[in-house]
Amino acid sequence: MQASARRPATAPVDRWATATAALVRASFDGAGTVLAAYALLLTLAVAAIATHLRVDADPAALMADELPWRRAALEHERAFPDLHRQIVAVFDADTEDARRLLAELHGWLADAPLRAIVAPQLDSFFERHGLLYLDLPQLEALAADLDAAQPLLGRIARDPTVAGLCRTLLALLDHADALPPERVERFVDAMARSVASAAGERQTALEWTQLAMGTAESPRRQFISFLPRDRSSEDEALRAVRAAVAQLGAQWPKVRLTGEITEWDDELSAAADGALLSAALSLALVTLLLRVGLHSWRLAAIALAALVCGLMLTAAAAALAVGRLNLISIAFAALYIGLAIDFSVHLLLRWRELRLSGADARDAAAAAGRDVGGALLLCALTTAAGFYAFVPTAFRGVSELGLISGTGILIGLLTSLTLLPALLRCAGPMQADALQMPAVLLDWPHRRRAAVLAAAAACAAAAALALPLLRFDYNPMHLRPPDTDSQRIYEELVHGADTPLTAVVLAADAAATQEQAERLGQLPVVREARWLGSLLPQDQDAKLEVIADLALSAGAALPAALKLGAADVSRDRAALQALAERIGAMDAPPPAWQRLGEAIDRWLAAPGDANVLRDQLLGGLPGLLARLHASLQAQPVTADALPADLRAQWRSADGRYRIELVPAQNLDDDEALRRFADTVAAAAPDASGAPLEYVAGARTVQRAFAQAFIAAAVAIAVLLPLLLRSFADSLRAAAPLALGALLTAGLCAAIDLPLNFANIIALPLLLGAGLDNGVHLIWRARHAGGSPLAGSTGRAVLVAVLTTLSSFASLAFSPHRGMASLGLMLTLGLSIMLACSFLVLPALLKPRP
Amino acid sequence: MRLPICLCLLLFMMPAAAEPASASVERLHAALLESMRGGVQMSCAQRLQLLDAAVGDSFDVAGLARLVLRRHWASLDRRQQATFVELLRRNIGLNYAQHFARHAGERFETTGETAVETAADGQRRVSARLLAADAEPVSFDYVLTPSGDSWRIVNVFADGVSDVALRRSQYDSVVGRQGVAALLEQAAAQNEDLLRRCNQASRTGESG
Repeated sequence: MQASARRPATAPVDRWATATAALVRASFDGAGTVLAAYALLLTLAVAAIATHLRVDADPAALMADELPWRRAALEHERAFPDLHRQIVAVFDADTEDARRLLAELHGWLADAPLRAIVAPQLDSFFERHGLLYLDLPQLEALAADLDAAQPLLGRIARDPTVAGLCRTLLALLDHADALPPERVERFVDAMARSVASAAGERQTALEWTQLAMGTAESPRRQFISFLPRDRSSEDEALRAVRAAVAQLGAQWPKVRLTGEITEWDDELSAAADGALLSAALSLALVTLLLRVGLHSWRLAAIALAALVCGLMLTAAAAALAVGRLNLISIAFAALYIGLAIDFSVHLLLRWRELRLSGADARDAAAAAGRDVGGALLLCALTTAAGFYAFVPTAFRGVSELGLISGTGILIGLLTSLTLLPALLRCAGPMQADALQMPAVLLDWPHRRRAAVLAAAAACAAAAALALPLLRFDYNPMHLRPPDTDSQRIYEELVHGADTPLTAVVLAADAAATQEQAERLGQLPVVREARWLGSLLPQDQDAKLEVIADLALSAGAALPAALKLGAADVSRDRAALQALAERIGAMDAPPPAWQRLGEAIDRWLAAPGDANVLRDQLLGGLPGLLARLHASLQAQPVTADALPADLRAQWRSADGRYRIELVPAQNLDDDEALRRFADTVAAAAPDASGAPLEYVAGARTVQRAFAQAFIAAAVAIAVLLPLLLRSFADSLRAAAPLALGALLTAGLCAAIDLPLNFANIIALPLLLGAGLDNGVHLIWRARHAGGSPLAGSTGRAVLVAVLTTLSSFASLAFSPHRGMASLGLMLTLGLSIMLACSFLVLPALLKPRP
Repeated sequence: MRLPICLCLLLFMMPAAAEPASASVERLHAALLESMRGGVQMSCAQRLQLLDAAVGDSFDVAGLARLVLRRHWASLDRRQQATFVELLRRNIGLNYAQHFARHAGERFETTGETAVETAADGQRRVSARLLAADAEPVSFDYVLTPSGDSWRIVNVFADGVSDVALRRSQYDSVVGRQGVAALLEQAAAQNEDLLRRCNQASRTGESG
């Protein structure tokens, strides 16, 4: 029941202070040896990093392969390797243009490390069987259209010249009732435009397909997949495809790239975008802050040198212990910078304080080692224990982060106690500065402790109320940079039937597949269950009958391969003349005919190239006839008749079938995503696919972090009282962390900053920073009396937090939305932790006499 | 060795009728020529008797009726279907009577017979021309389907223009606007009109 300040130093860490003092003094004395040892260690560390450390950017690598949903995903990847790790080109074009583009890209990419370029929907199969894929009413309407166009087509095909076209029109005028008038009108109108444009700059070719089929094949969304030869050639393949696409001229449709590989590259480059500049700015800012905080360029340089050295040693430890960094464990660097700088700052500021009060450099070092060393040891042990508590979690990302960061903290402690004192030999004399903690801050929280504690309790209550609103954003697509092609394509597709967010189920044989597909297709969350069988046209008998009838009525006399000869100028002119005269002789020609007559007159008055006119008017005809001829040869379609590339997407090489479940709702909405994933997983336990992986992944991450933080809390709760030998002081030391965590969570809920896969890695840093601040301040209160903010400790806490803030706040402006949310989360969290340390912790101390 | 060959031969011969497809076409052409040569001397009744018989002999009128009406065919009751087939048969004969009633030295020439590529069920296409001394030849392409031991015409392309396609467009618009009953009425009225013209032509011919 004594006041903290008067408590005798009997706790174990207090006794260890003597040891840290000795270590610091020894390092100061043997600076040469220490520096040489570190030089050697650094060399070894660089070698270890260069040879043993690789970065694995695959998000899937974060998860343990034994997780059930992860096993299903791996199984699917094994069965259908070509559907994974693709580069996909997306563009809008009709089939003809898409084929030409495919051929062009094949040409550009002949030497690229690709094992295949796949576009099943462009297979000639669909040319022949396309009519079977129309609905029966659509097909019947198309047949009626073709029948109506047949008299025109049939006549012109017998004489495919400008003269033949003119004669056909003359015949139309003679038998005005032979064809529906609106159809004749449309044809004449289109022809008038073509003739009028034949002499001009921008020519309008006669759209035969449009005229014959009522509608032209409108450009639709096309997909071409590029499959890299192997994992190691993915980057090169992407570069090659990007270069090929960039080389396409303006005459090609605009091609955009997406696919797993492209998405990753876009994400990484956005994350790296401006990273160098922002890192340089951060470094400058940190240096400046250290210079102001430590009031010495030399001390700032010493702190930075120790920081960089410790970071390298930690990376080397990671290289030797784990061998790789994943997307989460790479955050160890952030953690290290954020926490290890604290150690240096506390030690250096205390040393400076002692120097200014008259001690010589050596004594000051030993005294600082004694005064702060215990606190450093306490911080390091508790924080490292907290991080090591992450290791047993199933989430490999978190578990490895815990291992590396825990070790990093201990390395940071070691460099602070050995390298830092050795470097202090060259620190030079210290000068006093005017920077002081404002007296009101030192005094006020303690004096008005009732008010401060009431306010803190009110904030905590409010935060606790807001807490249920805190959500986890399951969808990693929301973290990606918004302005890349791959992200825009995702946003366009996610609403429709081509959404990339589908679930997949594997089935052993066709019968089981059909049964499963029918069952799963009934789920309310499923719009459609696709499988190999659903690629076969429905109602084939009825449709084939319509097609056979059409072949008989329209196709039988149409040539499959029509060749346009060279224009016979005099014959064509005579026929045009005759047609124009005939139109001129009409009493009141319909407007389209009148326009055609005028266009012909103009063309005859200043005749252009007759071959150009022929191409304008008839150039599209052979293509139409060839397509028509092909599509009238449709045969019953079975699974084995489908294009091999297409079949391979639905039946694996080892004979298993894939069922794809298309969601009924837009899964960009988190609630819909969760419902879809849960419903599908309940109905088909071995289902996989992006939505299920997102949700299961998020749950794994959440569970892993929850587990890790509970374990860390237990470790801290056991260690702190054990080391401090005071339950009350332990509570006080942990108070900024506990309250800060609650307030940060409440604030994030209130401003709708959801937790996600990216910003969740801010939490361990907040844990470490919050805990360390509390421990340092309690230590000061126990040993020096007065306000814990007085002297070097308050200043050190402030400088350390500000340095960490300045190194990470810039992330908030990253184009990568995940990074930005991480930056924001850290900024808010660290500010709240600082406020709790400076305002609430002093208020928790016993009243001073 | 011998058995498979025999089987192949058998298969090859099975769908084929006893006579070539062109035989049906040529019988029709002979009747048309006779009608033309009859000229104004031939009464309308005589001409129709001749052509009706030829159409009945060379055309698969019931098949043609089903073909031109497409899905509307099923909406006719059996009696209506029979009426339509009869109207169609009559219409073909009347049309021929209108267009093949004068002779100025024309003759028919069969130019070829091939299998229809786009059809699955063994139809054949017979190409022919009507040659005249003072006009460009008119081409006729017939699509025939096997029927018993002969071939029956199911479509005629005159200068590339499909008779079935023309009729479909025409019937579709009538059925679409007024329904199937109107189609039967309109076909009957059209036949009346053609018959009146046929009679007129004969009378003026006789009087002139």
